This record gives sequence, structure tokens and C-alpha cells, in this order.
Amino acid sequence: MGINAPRSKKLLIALLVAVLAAAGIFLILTQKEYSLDFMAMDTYDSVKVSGLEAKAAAEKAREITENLDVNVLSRHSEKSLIYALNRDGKAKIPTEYSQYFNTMTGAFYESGGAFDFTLGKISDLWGIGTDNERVPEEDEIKAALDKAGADKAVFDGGTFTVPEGLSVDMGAAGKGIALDEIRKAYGSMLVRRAVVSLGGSILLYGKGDFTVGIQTPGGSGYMAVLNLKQCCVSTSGSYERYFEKDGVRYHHILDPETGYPADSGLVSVTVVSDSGTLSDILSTACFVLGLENGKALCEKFGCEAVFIDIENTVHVTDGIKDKLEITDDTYRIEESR
Amino acid sequence: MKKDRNFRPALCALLCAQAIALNFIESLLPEMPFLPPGAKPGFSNIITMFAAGTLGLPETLIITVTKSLFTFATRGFTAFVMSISGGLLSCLAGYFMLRHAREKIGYMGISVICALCHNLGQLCASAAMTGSSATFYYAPFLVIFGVITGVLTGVIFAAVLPALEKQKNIFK
Amino acid sequence: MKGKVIRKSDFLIVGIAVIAALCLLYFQRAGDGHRIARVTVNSLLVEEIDLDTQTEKTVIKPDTEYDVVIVAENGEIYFESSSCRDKICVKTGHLSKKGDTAVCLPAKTVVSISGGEVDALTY
Repeated sequence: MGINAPRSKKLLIALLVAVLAAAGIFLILTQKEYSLDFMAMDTYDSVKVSGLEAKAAAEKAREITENLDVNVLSRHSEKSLIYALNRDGKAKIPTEYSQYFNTMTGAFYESGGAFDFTLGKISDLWGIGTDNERVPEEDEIKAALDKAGADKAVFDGGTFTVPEGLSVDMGAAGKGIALDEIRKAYGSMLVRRAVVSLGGSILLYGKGDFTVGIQTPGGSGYMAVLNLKQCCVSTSGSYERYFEKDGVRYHHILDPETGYPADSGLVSVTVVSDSGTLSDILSTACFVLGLENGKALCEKFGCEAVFIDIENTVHVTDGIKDKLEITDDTYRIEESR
Repeated sequence: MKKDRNFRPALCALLCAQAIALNFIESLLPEMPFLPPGAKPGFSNIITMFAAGTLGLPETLIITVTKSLFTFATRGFTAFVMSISGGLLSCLAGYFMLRHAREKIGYMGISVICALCHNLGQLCASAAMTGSSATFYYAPFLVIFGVITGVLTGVIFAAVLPALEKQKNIFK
Repeated sequence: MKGKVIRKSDFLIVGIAVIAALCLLYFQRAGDGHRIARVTVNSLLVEEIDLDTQTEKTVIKPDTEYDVVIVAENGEIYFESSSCRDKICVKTGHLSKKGDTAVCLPAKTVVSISGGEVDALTY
């Protein structure tokens, strides 16, 4: 043992093993998945990415979300653009974000005002999510409502102007905007597949099939599964943020017409769209509009949706009818007429 | 002959530096699925094995502890505990095997055992720190990973051994 | 330095290690279909309970700023109490199905039952 011939044979075997090991490691590296969760936009966020740049991509998602939250969209962060807008009555919108403001303005008009991003002052009256949760007086609400209204906001491409007395609130669009920005970023990174969840607003990115569970309204698991290819999914529900007083539940999705929590016979709306911003906006708008008008609005924008009404009946738009599986039999699909 | 006495500290210092450099390069590697964050191939084990085989226990320990102190300085306390728990167990195992079992085990096997001991030390430390045995969930994956990296490191060790010997002789 | 790169016993070592790993994996699988509840604080796993095999009540008090109490009993796990303001974690109720999740944001504590087959949950 130990003479040249057998020795080099052993070395060859060793080299082969090493090459196999290296190949194995490389394969693991390209499959590699990285997950992280964090808190931003006032909710629980999580990212799961597969790809050579998995870790960087996951951190990028966090970075984008936190940046948008603190520096651009938050109503409460003093560094944010919206904060300045509400304080000064006008603000210059950076060009990379103007498309979102256009989308929001468009959605306001197309939805007949059901989606309105100027209800900050009325939300403040209700104080949901703070220590001041209360049922405001009728005249308080009316006074604040008179001053609100996205039709009073003017966006002329570069500058956004709003009158005094109203407060722009990006709560119904912020997560969707973040998802769109993240998707944009991933376009130039080595990401094979990614699932980003920002408080239940989801970005599905990459080739292949995905499954998204729709949370049981008021529960902890899911009552249905959507089988989708890459896209964005958002849900608005009356069970997410609310307080109860004297046996009445007051939830956080306000009807812009009345200033009170929307009461349209629905318990949740899930919207599927290529655009994160649209899925977020439309889920709120459809919740306010109710089933019939909500369906019409989705059709206008080319999006699909799942509506769950207060009687646990599930209504689905045609485009995703065959992609939805109900897994909890306390819910029934509405039969199409 | 006078040079003989001085070569050990000097060589030891050089090896420490090389071990630290390898550790640093490793830390740039990305996270792996199914493995706890921070799991790395352990290339600096090459240095440790060389020291255990040709220098002696004191030098081997010095290199291991120095590696961990560097980790402490750059990555914090938790990383330090992970490094030293795995490092000490691994270098002791390696030393023992290289001193007494060299006839029976090849470098590949020794390297695999060192890698496995490293992971075992880390698992125990992390269980002690979090107070829960939940981290042992990673055990099977770490064993496979340890075998692969042990083999890889063993082969690299055999390949660079002549160079390491040459390096040692420069000091003599 | 004397020694060979590879000897017979090396293969033995590798073989034993692989078998050991497979055994560990097998015993860890806890059988197909078991619901494993995981409690994480700040993304770090602090407790794991097999809801299908546990027999006595388990109380978990993770180390957070808020006094969170998690109880696992009768095959279910839930936030029993928390000193956070909104108590959404407690309001979520009892988790019993795979994929069920409850979160206490301020305490950065997540309780979830693994095995949920979906990529994401929308809510």
C-alpha cells in the first residue's frame, strides 16, 4: 500500500467524491431557500425566497417595505411623504411612484368613490387599533366627511395637492404598492421563486404553481385554497381589525359615503391581480361595494375575486372558478345561474 | 538548531491568520435550506488538522481559540459560542485521531469526524442557549452536510498538505 | 506528515454517519400526518410540540417583553393570555388544523401548526 499505482487510484476516487460533493453543494445552493419575517406597515410580514440570491432578495423585500413605510406612505412617520403631504397640503411625488397615485385616483373614480384614500381623519375618529377606540358622534363624522373626498385631491403628474381638513391614508393600498416594488426589484435579481406576505397581501413570484389559502373569516386556518400562477392576492375582511361595543362590532373598513364601517353583506373579499396595488385597492373597494357592484368593478379592471358573504356563501368570478377549492364545508359555493 | 525553538510560535501565528482568513471567506457563503443559519463547510479545519498532526495540542488549541475570538470580535457573542463549542470538540477529536489513529483512518474519515463533532458541539451549545431541544430538529441534515463537507475538506487537506509542509519548513 | 488520504475505515465512517442521519430523520418524521405546533420568538424556534402525541397540558411562557402564555392541551394550542394591547393573538382562538397560525405582533411570537400545504395565507 502506498506505492504509486494504488495511491493515484485512491486519489482519483477521492477527487471523484470531492467533485460529487461540490456538485451536491452547488445544487443545494441553487435550490436554496431563505425565509425571514419582520414587522412593517403595522402588520406581520414574511418572505420566502428560492434562488442563488435568496438571502439578498429576502432582505431586499424587507428593505423596500420598511423604506416605503417609514419614508413614503405612512401617515404617522414624520419622515414620510404622506405625512408631509397631510401637513403642508401639497407634496412633490417622485416619478417612480406616480403610477401608483394615478392608479389610486383612477380607482376612486371607477369605483364610484368606494375606494377613497382621503379618509384619514374619519379613521382617526374611530381610533381602531389605538387606545382611543370609540363610536364617534354623528355630527363629528359628518363634519369630517364633508372635508374628505378623493375628488378634492389634485394630482397633476408631479405634485399632489389636498385641501385642509382631510388626511390621506394609504392603508388600503400601501401593502400592494410594496408588493409591486418588490416584484420590480426581483426582476433583476437571481430569484427563482418567491412568496411575500405583507399582512396577508401576497406576492407570488416565479415559474410554477402556487397555492394560497384564504383565511377562515374570524378563524385561524384556511377555508379554501386558490391554485395560482404568479400574481398578487389581497384580502379585505371585517374580522381583521375591529372593536366591539354594546354587542355591535365596528370594523376598520369605512364606507366613504357614510363614514361608518361598510355594511354590504360581505365578510371578506379576496382579489387576484397581476398588480399588487390593484389587488389591495380593489379588495377594499369591493368590500364596500358589495357583491354585484364589486364583481362589476373587478371585471372593469380585469381582476378576479372571491366574495364571502355573511351567510358563509362563497361567490367567485368566472376567471378563477376552477382554481378555487373549498376545504371547509361550513362554506358553500354559490351556484351560478 | 536555535531557529528550531522560535519556529513554533511564528508558524502558529501564521496558521492562526490563515484559519481566520478561511473563516472569513466562509462567512460570505449564503444560507442553506434545512440547515440552521450559520452552518458553514468548515474549511479552517484544514489548518486545525495540520496543526494537530504536526505541531501539537497547545498550538491546535491556540488556533481554535483564536479563530473563535475573531468570530467574537466580528460577529458577536452568539456566533462566538457557536464557534468555540464546535471548534473545541472538533479539534480535540481531530487531535486524538491524528495522534493515535492515523494508521487506521485516512484524512477523509478524520475530516468527516471533525465536521460531525463541530456540528454536535454547536447543537448542544444552541440547545443550552435557547433552553430547548428544538434545534436538534436540524440534526439529520447537519450530519449529511457534515459528511459532504468533511469529505470535501479532507480532500482539500490532502491536496494542500505538501504546500503546508513547505510553509512549515520555511520557518525551520 | 504521515498518513493516507483515504482508507477502508473512512468508508465505514461515512456509511455509519449516513445511516445515523437517516435514522434520525425517520424518528423525527413523527409519522405521517402528525400536527407539529411550533412556537417562534423573533424567528427563532423556541418550542415544538407534537399535538397528536402529547398527553398532558403544556404551558409555554416565551421570553418576551409581554407576558405571553401559550397553552397546548387536548391536541390544540392557543394563546391563553398576553399583556399586549390588542390581544389579537388571544382572539384568534384555538389552533387545531395544519397551517393554523396565531401571531402576537408586539411580542414577535408566532405559533403555527406545520404541515399546512399552502404557500401563503391571505387575510
